[in-house]
Amino acid sequence: MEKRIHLCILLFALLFTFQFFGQTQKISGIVTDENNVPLPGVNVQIKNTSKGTFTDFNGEYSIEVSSGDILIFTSIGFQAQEVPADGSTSNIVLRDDASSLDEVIVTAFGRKLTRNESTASVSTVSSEDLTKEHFTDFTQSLQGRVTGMTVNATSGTPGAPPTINIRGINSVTASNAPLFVIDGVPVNDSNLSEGNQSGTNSSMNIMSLINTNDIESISVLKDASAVAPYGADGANGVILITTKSGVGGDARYNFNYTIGFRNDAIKGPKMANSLQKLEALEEATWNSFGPDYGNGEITSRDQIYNKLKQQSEFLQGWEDRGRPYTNWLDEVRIKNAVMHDLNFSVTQGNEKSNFYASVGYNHTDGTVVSASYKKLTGSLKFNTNLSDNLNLDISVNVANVRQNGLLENSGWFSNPNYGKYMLSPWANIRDDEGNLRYIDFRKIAGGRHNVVFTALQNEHFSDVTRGIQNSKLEYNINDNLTFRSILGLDFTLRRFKNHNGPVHGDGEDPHGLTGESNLTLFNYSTQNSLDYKFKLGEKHNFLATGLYEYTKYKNLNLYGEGTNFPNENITNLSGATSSFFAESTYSDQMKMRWVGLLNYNYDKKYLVDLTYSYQGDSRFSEKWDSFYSAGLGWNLQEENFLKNVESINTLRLRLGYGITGNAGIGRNLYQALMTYNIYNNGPAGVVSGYGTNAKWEKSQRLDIAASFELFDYRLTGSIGAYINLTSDMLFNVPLPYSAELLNSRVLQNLGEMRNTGIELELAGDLIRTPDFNWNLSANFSTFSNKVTSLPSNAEIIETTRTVQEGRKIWEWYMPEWAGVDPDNGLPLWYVDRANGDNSTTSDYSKVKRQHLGKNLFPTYQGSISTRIDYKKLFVEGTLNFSGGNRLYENTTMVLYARGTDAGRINSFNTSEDVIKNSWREPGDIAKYPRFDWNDNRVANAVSQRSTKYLHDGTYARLRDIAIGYNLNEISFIKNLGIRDFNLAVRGTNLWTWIKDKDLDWDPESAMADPDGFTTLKTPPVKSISINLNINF
Amino acid sequence: MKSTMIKYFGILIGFGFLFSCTTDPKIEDADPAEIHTIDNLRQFQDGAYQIMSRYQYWGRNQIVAGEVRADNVYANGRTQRFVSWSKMDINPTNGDTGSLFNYINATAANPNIIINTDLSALEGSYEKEDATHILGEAYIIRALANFDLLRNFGQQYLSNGEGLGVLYVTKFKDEDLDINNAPRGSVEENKAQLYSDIEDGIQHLKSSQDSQYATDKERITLDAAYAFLSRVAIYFKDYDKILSISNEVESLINKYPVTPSTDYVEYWKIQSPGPASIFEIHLDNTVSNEDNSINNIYRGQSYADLQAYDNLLQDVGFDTSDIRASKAMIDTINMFEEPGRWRNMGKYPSMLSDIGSDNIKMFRVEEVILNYAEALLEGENNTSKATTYLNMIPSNRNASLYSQATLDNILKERRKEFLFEGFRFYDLVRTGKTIRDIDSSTPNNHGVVSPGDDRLAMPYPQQEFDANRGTKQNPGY
Repeated sequence: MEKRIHLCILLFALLFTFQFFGQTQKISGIVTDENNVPLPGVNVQIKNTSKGTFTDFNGEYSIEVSSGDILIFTSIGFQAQEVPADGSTSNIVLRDDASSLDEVIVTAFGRKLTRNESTASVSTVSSEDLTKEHFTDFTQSLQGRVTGMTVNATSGTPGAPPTINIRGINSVTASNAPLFVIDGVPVNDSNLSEGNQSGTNSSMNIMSLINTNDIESISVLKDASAVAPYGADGANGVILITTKSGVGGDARYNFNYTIGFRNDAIKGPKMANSLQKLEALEEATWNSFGPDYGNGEITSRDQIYNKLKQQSEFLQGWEDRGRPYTNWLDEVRIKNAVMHDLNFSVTQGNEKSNFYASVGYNHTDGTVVSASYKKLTGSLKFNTNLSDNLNLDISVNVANVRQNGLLENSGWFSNPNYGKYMLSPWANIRDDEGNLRYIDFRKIAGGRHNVVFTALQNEHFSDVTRGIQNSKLEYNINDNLTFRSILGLDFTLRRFKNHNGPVHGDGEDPHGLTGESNLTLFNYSTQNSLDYKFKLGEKHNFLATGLYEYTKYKNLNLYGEGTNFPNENITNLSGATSSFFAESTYSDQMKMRWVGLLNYNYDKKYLVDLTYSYQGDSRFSEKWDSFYSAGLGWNLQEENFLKNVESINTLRLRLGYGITGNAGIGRNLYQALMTYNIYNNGPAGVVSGYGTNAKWEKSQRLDIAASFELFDYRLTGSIGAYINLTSDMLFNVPLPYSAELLNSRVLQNLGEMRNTGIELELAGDLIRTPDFNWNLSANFSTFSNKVTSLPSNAEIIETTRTVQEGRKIWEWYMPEWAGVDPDNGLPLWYVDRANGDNSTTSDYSKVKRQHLGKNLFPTYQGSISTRIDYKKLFVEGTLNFSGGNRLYENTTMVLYARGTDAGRINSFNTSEDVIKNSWREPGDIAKYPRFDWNDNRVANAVSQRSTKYLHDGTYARLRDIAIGYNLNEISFIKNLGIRDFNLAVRGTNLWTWIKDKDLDWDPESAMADPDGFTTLKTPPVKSISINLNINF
Repeated sequence: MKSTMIKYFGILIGFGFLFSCTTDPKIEDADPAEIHTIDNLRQFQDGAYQIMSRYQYWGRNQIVAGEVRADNVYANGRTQRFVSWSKMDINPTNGDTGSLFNYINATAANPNIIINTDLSALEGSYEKEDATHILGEAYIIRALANFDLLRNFGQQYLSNGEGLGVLYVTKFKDEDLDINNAPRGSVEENKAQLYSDIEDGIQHLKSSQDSQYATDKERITLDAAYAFLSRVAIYFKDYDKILSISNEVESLINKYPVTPSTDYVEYWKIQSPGPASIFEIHLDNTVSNEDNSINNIYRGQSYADLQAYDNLLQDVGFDTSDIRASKAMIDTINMFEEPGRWRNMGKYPSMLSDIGSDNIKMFRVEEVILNYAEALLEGENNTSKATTYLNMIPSNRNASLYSQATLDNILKERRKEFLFEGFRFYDLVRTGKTIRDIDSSTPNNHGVVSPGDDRLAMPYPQQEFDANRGTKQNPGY
């Protein structure tokens, strides 16, 4: 093997030797990185010619040059270097790109500029960072890596999407999701949950169909200068994904394998065991009735048990079955769920063409019974010079994911994440033979389902295939003028199937129910642009771009349903014999934009960025509008007064202003719509929408920032502040029911909102020696939000939160809890403290809701990372934190049953916390009211919303911790021809600190919930993984 | 080679410019909420029936509202459904109350569009009588929706009330009405509007008796309009109103046979209107309310929240031979943990994959008969005639006859006949009876509710209250 490779190199080298034989002189050398490690595949090019070569495996190169030629050395991840071709030997040290603000950044429409040429606020995340944590999609790996960007997992089910907000939430009604662009082409980020029964099944992230390992880097565009080119799609920020390209030179292989073990990130609420439940039942009965309960037969609490047995089938049954105890939390949970991730890639190239190809496989088991995820991906990117000035770039990415999900979030009885809290510990999960119990399960579990049985019996899967193909042709008309044409195709087919088996659960009554939906998403985008790069005099540098882009989206969903299946083995629709239902929906959307971009710098000292975008969108009745931005930058280090200050490498000031828009609403809402239902086998029209002339929201953005690099790039950082003013906000203004509309809302442009924030970044090499490096970096951002204008009729007043002028968006609004009355164990609320009434009452109807000054969104967040390299060993870690927000525990009904409604504690369960911390006797300062069957004031307190269930969302999480070792030097490995051999053990989310000790739920998923409510979804996960990465 | 390249290049460029020329996104701005043809007209009116058939209104909640707050059934709390209704401890934020209010109002939207459309200008050729008939249906359904709104949310029988009724909307998207600041009308105003709409409806239906729709029992007919008028009048104890149409009422009673006891169980099972039915809302298994159906709340595996009081049979006072107390109609079935609890078995009987596919029987001749008997008795003291009409019911139920009609035995017969159909609460309220607590050991019981109690009216829903500043809440909420 090794010999063959060497032979290849020899032949390759000879080829080059002969090819250029007879030309002028020859220059050779070795290219290394800063640590003196040879770099293979570095492109060595003679400036202003197409002549070039690549370094070999040992970093050596050799090229024929004429005197006066300049050699350019380029390699991904390193700064380019230009060197005059003097003498016969030239050894080059390439400097790491990441340590410099001179790095090339990808900006709107894939334009590449160096940081000191651009005024845009762009954060870049490298492929190395993205592949650290092994989530099923790259979006989750962005958490904590981009200043001002919030990423929260909605569910721990593999494949479920996170909620992403860049610089806070900018809209109430329209989308808050950023625009995704892959290799310059906007891609579909539709919700794959469409048509899968109103989101009660696991959701599936369309970005999960992109293999994280195929991503070279991600740029996050945040400020006006960066996002204004995207006009009405830019208000929520833009995420630009650059996929990996081929690298010149001989074939280079990468093999990457990870095995991981996943568990719930935090323990979560603990439920009562079977004896605790009995105790609670006895206590509740005694408290409610006392001796009356037995019509005089009982005189003390310990006699109540026998009486209870006569009254409660559940208790009698439990007794008869030998007092079993089922710990549903354990039964539903899959401990140490296994994850495998396997990737193999190869790249090769010569001076004309290169390619990158990869295959990937991922299998991730869910942490909840029956959930799993499987992904297969393949990609090819091919680049070739068709002629000296014509370059063709073709890429194909295809992926298939099968997500075996579950019912999530809703209180549906077959949702395992609901059942694990709700189900009685007295209800045995298995029958006497040890099989999962189902025949009489409902009888012993208050009508609920055996969720383990139903999870295994029922199907809730999404099978998604996505193919993305891009063609890019670039024509260098002359040195200054480049024409580029791109066609991007993005096709997704999602098959969703929900089958409730006839044996047990939701499928029992209809004798089996199947619903299947095929969702087809197709969009294409075409871009034609002209870059004109020119100089006026020596110092005025211009780059002007004119661009036209057209994008079309087509969504088609076909859904069919049927019931009454002949037996439990037949699950496809053709087996259904009644209740047939079919529907299809189609929608399309077109977007067009004309964009002008001008980037100017004066001697790299003063920078100006101007953008203009004229955009049309079929979603609105008024379809066209324009958006623009202007940015100014000043590279102070280029000024004479700083040029000689050695400690300052870079000091730059940036200022940007612009207007973007948000068009993220449903399609065709501008029309008044009729829905046709069926009455008596004929069509029956129902008005389903008022129609609206609403148009996109506008966002004015002002950005100011300073960035610096000091002490030979050892200390780098930036500080910035922004203001976003959103106006013409879209509101689904509630109509009174008397407006006679079933969905009593209408979309209108009203109101203004202000988001402000400060963003800090700091990174330093604390120790930098050849053998020992210690790097520490941190980012921190603040978010502040205020609705500055909103007419009172558009105010949104929900049961627990409001959107009102002068307040935060979605500010919490509910009665204030005043504790449990120590005298009698009744719940207490403050009557109306805002208006000076500090009295308390147990009568909920007398209580006024209060504005609480907090919402679900954190007011600050940050991340601290460190990495220590000692010779071949590294240790690294990242801690993320956020806080200042409040989250609402909406899941109280499943935890705090007080036995007050008949059958509640009798048939279901309650939390251990309730058993331990309920009021027992006068004088108790208790967390929960007393147990009582009869008193409505206690009974209703569970569902009466108040600050009792509103928790501080402040938390910190050890996002990442890892230790790794590079085994390159081991001779055995070397002899195998392996260039790079790394082994790492990594922990993700291993430790979590939650400020509010009463919050038993994971704050991350509550923050990801649009309402800020805790949910009955799969909790976010932690994992430990072992990673093997081999380059050869 | 070169030519291929140029071709490819050309294709890409062409592609881009092709779209720039042709695709300014254009979609026609037609207002679909307008009536242009007779088909539109039929579809719009059927839209109102369709909304009525949903579980939020007549498909379930309206029926539950008339039962669970009275002395026939209670919510056992299995799925927490209707617990607060059963306790009569309803919050303005209660979801079922809000959706009931919403669906009742939405039912009136299409009738309002129809009533405010110039039907003489419809496109194409059509039978004028059909258009007139549909217009008549629209008036009746608008009245029916507002009547249900009033009897659930109005203050007509409250002692602390101010005589407030409901906002009686007469035009969809009415520019002259500030919907965000529109006060409730008074009960008296509402009553006048109801009678006026019913009168208009009757006139249009009368003049379109040749229409193909005149005999369609799954839509409003002239007979249904009279039946509805008798229901409204009985609710307001306007006995004279009923007596004033005694000819029409009597001929209606002659036209529709009371279901004989031998057919009674079957009458509830058949999936189309039986002989005794005047108007039914159509449901079948493709449009059923499924889990949310009235069937499922009475006895379905997944909900079964509404169960009869243990001593219901004794309390109602059924004869043992009464077909309405037979096992086919009401039985103790072994549901989950509660063996031997009484449940409605006979009304809305479909189960399993057909659950919720039974028509909702809106007006039966038996109701018109009992309304008429009550009017004869209370309005003109014609006891003998009242007794004759009253006895038409037990004589067809294998039950003993009444020697003489009294208000009490008419109410007793109404309770037997309309058990589980959503009449009981309104009968008790309108006659000023105390709602008794017939078994205080049952959970979620409302206890004793005296005449005039605040709880006899449901609270105005929070959204109505928040979005319409002209609205005033009912007392006690």
